[in-house]
Amino acid sequence: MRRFFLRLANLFRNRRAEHEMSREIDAHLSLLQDEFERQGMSPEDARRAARRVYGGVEQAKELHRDARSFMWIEQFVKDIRFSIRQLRRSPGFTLTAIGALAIGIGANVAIFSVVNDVLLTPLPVPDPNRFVVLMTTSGEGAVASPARFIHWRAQTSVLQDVTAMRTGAMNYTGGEIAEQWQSAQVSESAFRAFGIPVIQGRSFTPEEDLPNGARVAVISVNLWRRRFASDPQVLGKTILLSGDPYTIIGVADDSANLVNQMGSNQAPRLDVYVPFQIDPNTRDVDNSFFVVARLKPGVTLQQAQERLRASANEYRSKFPDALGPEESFTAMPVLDVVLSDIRSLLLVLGGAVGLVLLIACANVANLLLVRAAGRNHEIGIRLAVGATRGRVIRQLLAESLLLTLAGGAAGLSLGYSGIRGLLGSVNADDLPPVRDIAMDWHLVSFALALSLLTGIVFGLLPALRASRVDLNTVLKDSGGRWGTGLRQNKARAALVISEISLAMVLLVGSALLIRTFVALYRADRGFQAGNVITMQTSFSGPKYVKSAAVAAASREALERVRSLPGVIAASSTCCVPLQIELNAGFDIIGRRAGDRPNTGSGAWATVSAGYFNVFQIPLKRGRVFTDRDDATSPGVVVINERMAKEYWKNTDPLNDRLLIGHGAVGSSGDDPPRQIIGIVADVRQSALNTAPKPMMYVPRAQIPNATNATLSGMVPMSWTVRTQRNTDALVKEIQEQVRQSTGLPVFNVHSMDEVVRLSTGQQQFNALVMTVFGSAALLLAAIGIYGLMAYMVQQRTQEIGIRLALGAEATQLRNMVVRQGMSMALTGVVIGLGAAWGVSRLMESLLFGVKPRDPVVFVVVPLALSAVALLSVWLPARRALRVDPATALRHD
Amino acid sequence: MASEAGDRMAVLQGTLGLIVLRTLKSMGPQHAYAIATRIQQFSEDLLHLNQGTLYPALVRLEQQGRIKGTWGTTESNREAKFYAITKSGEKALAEETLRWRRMSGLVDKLLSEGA
Repeated sequence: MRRFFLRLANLFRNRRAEHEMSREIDAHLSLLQDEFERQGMSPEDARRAARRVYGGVEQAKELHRDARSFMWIEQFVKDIRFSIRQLRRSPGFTLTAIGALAIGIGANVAIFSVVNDVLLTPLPVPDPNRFVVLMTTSGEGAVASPARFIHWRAQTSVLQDVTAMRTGAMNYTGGEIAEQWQSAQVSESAFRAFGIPVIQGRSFTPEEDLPNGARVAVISVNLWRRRFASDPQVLGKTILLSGDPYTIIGVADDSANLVNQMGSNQAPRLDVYVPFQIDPNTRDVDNSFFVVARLKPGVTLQQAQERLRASANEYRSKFPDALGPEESFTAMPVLDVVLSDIRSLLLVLGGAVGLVLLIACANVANLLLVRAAGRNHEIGIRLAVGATRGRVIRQLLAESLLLTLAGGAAGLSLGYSGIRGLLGSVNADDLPPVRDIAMDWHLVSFALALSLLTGIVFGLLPALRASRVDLNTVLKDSGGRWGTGLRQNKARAALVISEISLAMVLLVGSALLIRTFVALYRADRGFQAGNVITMQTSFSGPKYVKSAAVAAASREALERVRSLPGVIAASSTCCVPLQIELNAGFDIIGRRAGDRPNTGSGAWATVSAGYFNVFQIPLKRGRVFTDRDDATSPGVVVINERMAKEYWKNTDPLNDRLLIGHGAVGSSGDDPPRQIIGIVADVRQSALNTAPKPMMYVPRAQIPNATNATLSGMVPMSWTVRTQRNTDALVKEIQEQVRQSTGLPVFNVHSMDEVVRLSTGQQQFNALVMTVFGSAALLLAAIGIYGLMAYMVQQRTQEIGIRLALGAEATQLRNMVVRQGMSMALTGVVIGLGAAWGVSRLMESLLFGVKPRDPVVFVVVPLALSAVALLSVWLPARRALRVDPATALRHD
Repeated sequence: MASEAGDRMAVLQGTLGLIVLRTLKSMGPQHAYAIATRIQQFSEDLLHLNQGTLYPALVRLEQQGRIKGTWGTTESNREAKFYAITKSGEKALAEETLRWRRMSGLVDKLLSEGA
């Protein structure tokens, strides 16, 4: 026992032990030297003599070390050294194996880094499971009205920190140049609910959150650094935001950017927070913002949901029209909302990377089997001279572990840089809320665990097999050829077949996603994006409270833009297709209202005259707006074909009038009755993969002032201009005209083609990632079958030689090899086809414009895979042609 | 090496520990050099001892708890580690001596019978 501890101590105190040893050897040498000097030698001679008598100092040290430490550690080091030597001796094998593993592990690391970010650290809020979003069970969903907010806030038995929030933009005009700030209107409880620390000053008081409360603002730490140079005196400063003076009372460390992530799917950093100031006695039932809350301590989600459901009746009794009889209230964890969209994506990606890793492992296992077979002679000798089976297995395991660890290290950096590159190459706004993918210990330990696991699992089998050799057979054999028996090759064939079938599944998946991406671009979007430029301006502040003011400013700016040479048409809108879709309920005047508070609901957008020309949206019937449709003229509305078909089965919509109100953005129910004056073709407003829904267009000049104010707070005005050609100079000139005309900053300048591209970021990412995985799988499978066939041809050199000597045709032999390889490949293809047929349905929610069992995919992919397999088989088969019978017969 | 060894004997494997224990038992605490010198003198230079090989034996014995080393100074004022036999070392010496006697007796017997 004592010895055990001494040795153990020696392991850990190696340096001390080394020192002790040198000291003792020195002592011995100096004593010897003394002796020789006493015999009359010169000190120099004596020193040399002492060394001679002592023997090799280094050898002594080595012997000493042996005695000092554990044998197995020592052997372990030897195993590793030996493994490195072995691996270096066959660089082809080593590099192939490490490369395959790097691809397999790298793909997993890449996806894990996303999963790690999204799932393991999902919401940067304290206690994310108790953080809920309050919603209505149908209709508006998570969008809420002031009345609903006040009602929910009163449910204090189950909820606390009930917070309303709405993101938008404000114009900061205090600096040298006007600036656009990302802003959020929030309840005073927001910083508690989101867990955002206020690092300077304070957050809002309940009094400041009441109507006509003080104009105060909390700025983000980001803005504080950028705009105010981290000035500690910033508190108490008054700034002009959209024309109103606000006093800065706090600086919030909102680096997690959570508020905005929830407010919209495009999430720029927030700059400033202002109090929402909702009237506790409000009767405003129009839905235009989100409400989040925290569950009260001790209250379960179910209890909160039950209470909310029960409270719906109380609400209905207060606001009879604001909630349909079927509708109710509920709470959902924010986490579920955030993750619901990406769950199936992560499932598919996770499955895909798992397959890639399996293929890589099958590849390496195959290589190890081949290699172990080639080393039977060596292993046999080692066993014969007394190595235990455990020792041999350990040696082989050390080799496979070394391989997988090297592969893991390469995979870690490959995957890490790969995912960063991928995220950089697509628009990340529409992706799952990936914040910052960092190389953290999660990632490193994941890669390490994966490497060790694959090393042990896929190294153990070949090692066990290799160590179970029959000494007699092996030692009698001249070496090299043993282990080529049918059983061994069967195992390898099975591995190759599974590689091909797994690759098949992946390729089908990536083909489906590529077709989805193509279909998105082919989809009839209903508007012409070419040569259209879009840019935005925020009409917020006291000057633009009235819709007439906004409409006038817009008309003036548009007139200037239209006068530019090269401009074909220009218009303004609240909602550029694929960027923003707002919704509103409507009643058809003269018809009885149905069960729901409105007769129907659909998308809603304010547009100026010229909008339909800019996007070349065909007018089907009636007329579109002119500048004469303003606040003084009768209310008008243009609807789309879908709406006409859905709501006017037998009558003519052009004879009817609409009341757009409840549920309309920010409207207080005073929207005028509107005559339907025209029907236009359908446009995909929300996304390319979403079919158009009923849509209403109204002129900005005709919306009520309250609606205008809310709208301006929510979304900036977008300018849309059709040009002959989008040249940089023209775009600059348009921008300049708008800026000069309105005196407001212009931002988010994008061509409409860019807007389309940005909106497909998710699908592009899916297709790209799956294509990368599919190609990796294809490559690995090709390497696998090539390697096996090349090995088999090499093994059978002698047989081929004999056949040739006996008069077989070389081409016949080549065809025999090809036949063998292809029968394996085709087995894999068929199995993979079946598997893909079964699992492709899992991808349904990711697809658009293509069925999970798309016949084209299920014909083209197997053909392509077979072609690649044929190539991989053909190359080694050609070697059979080059066999020289004379050499082959001597081949041992 | 071989030519230098001449008719000297290499230390029989496994006996070095026994010899060291025996030396320490009869001479009291000694440093490695003294042990090496003593062994060589005692065997009248018949035993070839590569002095470096003494160390692993000493370390092993120390780890086994049969000897204990402490640093001290020699008469010539050099520092050196002095080894002393421990209780368990004396016990082991007794056992090993017995085993060796039996062994050598057996070998003697075999050799004389063969002759």
